[in-house]
Amino acid sequence: MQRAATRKFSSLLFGTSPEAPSGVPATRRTMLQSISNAIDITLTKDKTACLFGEDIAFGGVFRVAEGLRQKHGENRVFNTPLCEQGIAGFAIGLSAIGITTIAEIQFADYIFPAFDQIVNEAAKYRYRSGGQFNVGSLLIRAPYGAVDHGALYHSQSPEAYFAHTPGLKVVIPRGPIQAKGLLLASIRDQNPVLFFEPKMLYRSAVADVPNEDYEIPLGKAEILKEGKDITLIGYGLQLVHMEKAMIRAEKELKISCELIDLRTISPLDRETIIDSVKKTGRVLIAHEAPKFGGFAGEIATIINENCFLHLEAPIHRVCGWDTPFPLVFEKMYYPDEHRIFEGIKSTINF
Amino acid sequence: MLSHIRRCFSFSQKLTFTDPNALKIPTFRCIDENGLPLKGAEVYIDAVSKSLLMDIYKTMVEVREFDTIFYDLQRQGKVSFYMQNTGEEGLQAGTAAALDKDDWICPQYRELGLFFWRGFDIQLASHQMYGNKLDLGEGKQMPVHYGCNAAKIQHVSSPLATQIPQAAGLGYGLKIRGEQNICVCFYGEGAASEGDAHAGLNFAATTKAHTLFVCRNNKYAISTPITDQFASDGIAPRGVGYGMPSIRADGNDVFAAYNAVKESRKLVLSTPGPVLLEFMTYRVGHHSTSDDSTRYRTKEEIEFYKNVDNPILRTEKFMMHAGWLDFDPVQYAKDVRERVLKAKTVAEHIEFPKWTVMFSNVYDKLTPELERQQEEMKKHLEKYGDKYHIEKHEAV
Repeated sequence: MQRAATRKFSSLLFGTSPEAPSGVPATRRTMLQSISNAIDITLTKDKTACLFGEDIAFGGVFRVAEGLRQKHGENRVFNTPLCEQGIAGFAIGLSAIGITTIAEIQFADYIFPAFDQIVNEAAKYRYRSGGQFNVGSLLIRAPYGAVDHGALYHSQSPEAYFAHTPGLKVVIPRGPIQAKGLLLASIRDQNPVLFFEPKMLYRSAVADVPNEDYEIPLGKAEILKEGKDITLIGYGLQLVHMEKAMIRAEKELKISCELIDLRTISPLDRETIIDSVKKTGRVLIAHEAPKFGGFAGEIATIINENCFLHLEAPIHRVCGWDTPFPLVFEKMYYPDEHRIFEGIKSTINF
Repeated sequence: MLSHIRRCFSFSQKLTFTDPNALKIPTFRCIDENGLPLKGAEVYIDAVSKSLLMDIYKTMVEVREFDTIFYDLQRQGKVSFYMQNTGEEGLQAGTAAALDKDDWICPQYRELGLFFWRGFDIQLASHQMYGNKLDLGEGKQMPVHYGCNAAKIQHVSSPLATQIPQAAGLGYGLKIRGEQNICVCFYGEGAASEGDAHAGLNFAATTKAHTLFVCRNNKYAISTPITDQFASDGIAPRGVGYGMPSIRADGNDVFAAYNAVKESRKLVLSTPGPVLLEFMTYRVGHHSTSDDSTRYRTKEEIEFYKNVDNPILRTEKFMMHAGWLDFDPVQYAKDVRERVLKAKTVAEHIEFPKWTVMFSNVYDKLTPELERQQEEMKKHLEKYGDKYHIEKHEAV
């Protein structure tokens, strides 16, 4: 299983990040195991930190919490009733008195009953009180995105809704090494953070994850590969498809591509995007979420405002169609290698 | 595991339904509407000393006078919004008196007495009404959206019932930290219909949180009367449904309020687990200054709660019977009114916070994007500052 996974994906995506420690003891871990390891480190170091959500006591439906209740006690790793608005509200109350809080929403598709608590409460907790109160110790995790068979309600990518809300941070890792470092940074960040985990990669992405405690800073994009002809911007699972398209485009079109993993959606690392597009003059942005009102639109506007005279072609977006996420049409729904390749080609040939 | 799951239930061969009114929870009360002690309540009345009752009375009068003045100021267009506490001062002050100073409070928005009791005084409340630079909330929220970390009262926010699951989490946090303190959550009988109310009570019950839920059944949610809000025997039986001890008390009787909260608090800590307390009271004022309540209820009804079943009047009558009324209530109220007017005058002359405060406390520090936007606004103000009354703000 692990070997199959390593064959499936390249080392570019699941290799290390510059901020992660190198040359230190590491263990081969899936993204799931890496996330679990980050939570374990948190619960070990911070004696009142809590992890909870639906089905967490037995390890969670994806097994992220496996063994953590036995290790850290039933007061700190526990089931909640089946109620997302309750999970979010309860988590806000806990973190309002400074307790490190890791709340799981079982699928990002089910975060909407908690929308009011997240958007109206968590996001505004500090602002509305003049800084007297905050829920900086709050982290909400949720598996998101395509999974091959999830259809409308087990596949959505809701990041844009939350990126539109001042006061929240939105983070999406692409691989096991990034998941650990970004998760630890997100847990310790003094603002409420939404951490969306690409569940397709939970077991298929494998890497040698450093055993030690380390953080990858929020608000900082990573250039996975430097190039000069076109900038490709993505995050999470999309990077897998973008990388495949990139390899093909470099070979067939004889171009060099620059690939950027945003890692944090909000706050966004504008500088990395702007510098790259000024250099390449061409840009393609991809995400699984629907195109209209999607996060790619925001990135495109930032590029337009800052790189107008450097652009050689219109900014190209490859996104999920403006339909719900459909079951048997899944492979036609989200941007894959072929649609992204065509996007690169038309942008290069403009 | 099997026995664990089965033990919750028993079997019967009778096909019977449980009557929805099977519980019919009575209202705990110590004094009647004339302020006279009720037989059997002596022990509860004795629990409130003369000086404690005087403190409760003082808080109630402060709330009433603050209400009167700021309601009028809103009518005159001097402040943008106000929400009165009139009719509910008794449960506010009675609850405040029964709590430990380190107990946390998650308010809704009609709990001014709790703030006054805990040192967030008339002056601080006045600053908030004007959103001036001394407003602890930095001029960001509408009037009456108070909050005070020093007083251990979380900030008021407008969305209804959101504080209920938060109070479950906060109370759970106190428990796992091993603190002998509770979190008290206030909400109205209207907010009790929100999904968050269900979420909060159920979470507190399953996690055995140190949380006391205090529902102020004041009979109206803006214009919607309780007959359109629920078909049950009020709110108290719902606590039983969630598996927590529940009680109903007369919120206009400060002795009932004080004792019910005192006992509830003990029960939360000793169980440990949540308790639901429903206070029967009445919203004498309009919902807010945007509301005219005479359009949906009778004058007679309002007058009854204003002049008869009123917590301040009932307390005064009790004091008279007990021989404790050794001051002139009219003069007392006048003195408080003077203090409110003075605080209001101070507050209205204090400038707004610096304009840059608009960007602060979104995050723990300004993000690069917020820094850019603040810079953009700065340049705009250099050109157009006079269009925004920049002179009314503290200089940057």
